[in-house]
Amino acid sequence: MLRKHSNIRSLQDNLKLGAITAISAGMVNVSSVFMFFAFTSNVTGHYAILADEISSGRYEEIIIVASWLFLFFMGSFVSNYIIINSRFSRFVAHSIPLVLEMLILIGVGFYGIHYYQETLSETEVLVALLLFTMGLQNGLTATISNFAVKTTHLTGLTTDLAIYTSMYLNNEYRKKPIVKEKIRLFLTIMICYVGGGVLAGTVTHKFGFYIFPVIAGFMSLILVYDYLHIKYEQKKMEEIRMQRSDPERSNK
Amino acid sequence: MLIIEFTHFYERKLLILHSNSKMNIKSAFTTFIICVAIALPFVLLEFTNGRIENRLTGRWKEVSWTYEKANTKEFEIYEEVQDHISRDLVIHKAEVWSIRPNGHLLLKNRHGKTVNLKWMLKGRGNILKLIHNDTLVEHYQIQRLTDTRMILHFENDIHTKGMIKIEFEKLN
Repeated sequence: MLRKHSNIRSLQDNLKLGAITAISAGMVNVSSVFMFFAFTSNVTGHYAILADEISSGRYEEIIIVASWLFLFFMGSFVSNYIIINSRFSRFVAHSIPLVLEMLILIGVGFYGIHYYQETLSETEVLVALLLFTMGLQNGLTATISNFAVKTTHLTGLTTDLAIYTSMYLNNEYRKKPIVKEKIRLFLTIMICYVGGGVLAGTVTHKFGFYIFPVIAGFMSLILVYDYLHIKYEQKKMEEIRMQRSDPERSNK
Repeated sequence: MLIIEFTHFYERKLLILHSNSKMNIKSAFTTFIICVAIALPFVLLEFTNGRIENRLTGRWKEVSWTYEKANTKEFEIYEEVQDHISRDLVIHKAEVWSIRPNGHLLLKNRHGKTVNLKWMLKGRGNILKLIHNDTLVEHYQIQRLTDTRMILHFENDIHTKGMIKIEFEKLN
C-alpha cells in the first residue's frame, strides 16, 4: 500500500489504502463530532463557517476556524514535504506521515482519558490536532496515489463518482477499464468512510477517548501489511538469487 | 522585529553548527519555519482562550421564545406552549440563567425555584452543553452572543416550525 508511488500503483494498492484510510477518516470525523461538536475531516464545511463568521464579525471564532483550516493545510503540506525530501527508502518515507498521525491520535486519546476537563480551549486544540492528522492522511494518500485516493475529500469524490458513472452509461467510455476501476475505487472509499462513521457513532459513547488509540491501531495494519510484504518479497528474491547462483542445488 | 532578530540569531547559530554544509542549513531553516507555522495556530487559539466564556458568564433573563422558521416574522410562543415544549428539558420554565465562571449554572424559574446545572462550551464555542445531575445532557446552539444579548437555538419535536429560539438580555 505504501511501497509504490504514483502511476506504478495498481488498483488493488489504491483500493486497500483507500479502504483503510477512509474507515479511519470516517471514524475520526464522527468521533470528534460526538466529543467536540466539530467536524475534523470535512474542510469544505469549515470554509463555509469561516465565511459566516467573517460576515458576522465574530473575531474569536474567525481565529479559531482559520487556525483549524491552516492546520489541515499544514498537515497535508508536511506529509508531502516529508515524502519528497526524505532520504530514506520509499516505504520509510511514506510511513513517516502515517506514524505521525498514529502518534497524534494516541496522544489525543491519552490526553482525553487522563486530563480532559471539557474546557473550550482544550476542545479547540484537540480539534486542531485532529484536523492536522486528517491533513497528514489526505496529503499522504493523495501524494502517493497521484491524486487518485483522497479519503477525506468526499465532495470531490462524489463529483468524480457521478462523472464516471455517467461515462459508464455511454457505450464508448464503458469499454475503457479505467472507468470501471475508478467507480470501484470511489465506491469503496465512500462505503468505507460511511462504514467507519457508523462504527464510530455506535461505539464512541461506550469507548469515549479510547476510540482514538483504537483508530491508530487499526491504521497500523497498513504498516504491518506492507512490512510483511517487503519481507516476503526479499525472501523470494533471495531464493531466486540462490537458484541462479547454484542451479544444480535448486534442481535437487 | 523580534521575530526577525530571533530568526537571524537562529540562522547564525546554524551557520556555526553546520558551516561545511549549506544544504543542511537550508533544510534546518525550512524545518524551523515549518515548526513555527504549525505552532502559530496553537498560539492564536491560546489568544482566544477564555474570551467566549467571559462573555457568556453573568445573569441572563429570558426575553422571548419564538419559532425560528415560522410563517410570520414574529411568532411568539405562549407560556403554556413554552411549558409543553420544555417539559422534558432541564431548562424547564426557567426565567433567569446565572452562568458562573466555575462551570456552574443556576436556573431560576418564575415561581422562584432554582436548579443547579453544569455548563461547558463545545465546538468553536457555539455549543452550550448543560448537564443535570451528571446524567441528563442537553445541547443548545449559541446563535448570537454579545455583551448584552444572547440567542440560543434548540430543536424540538414540532419539526414543522423548526427550531426554538430563546432570546436573552444580560441583567448585570
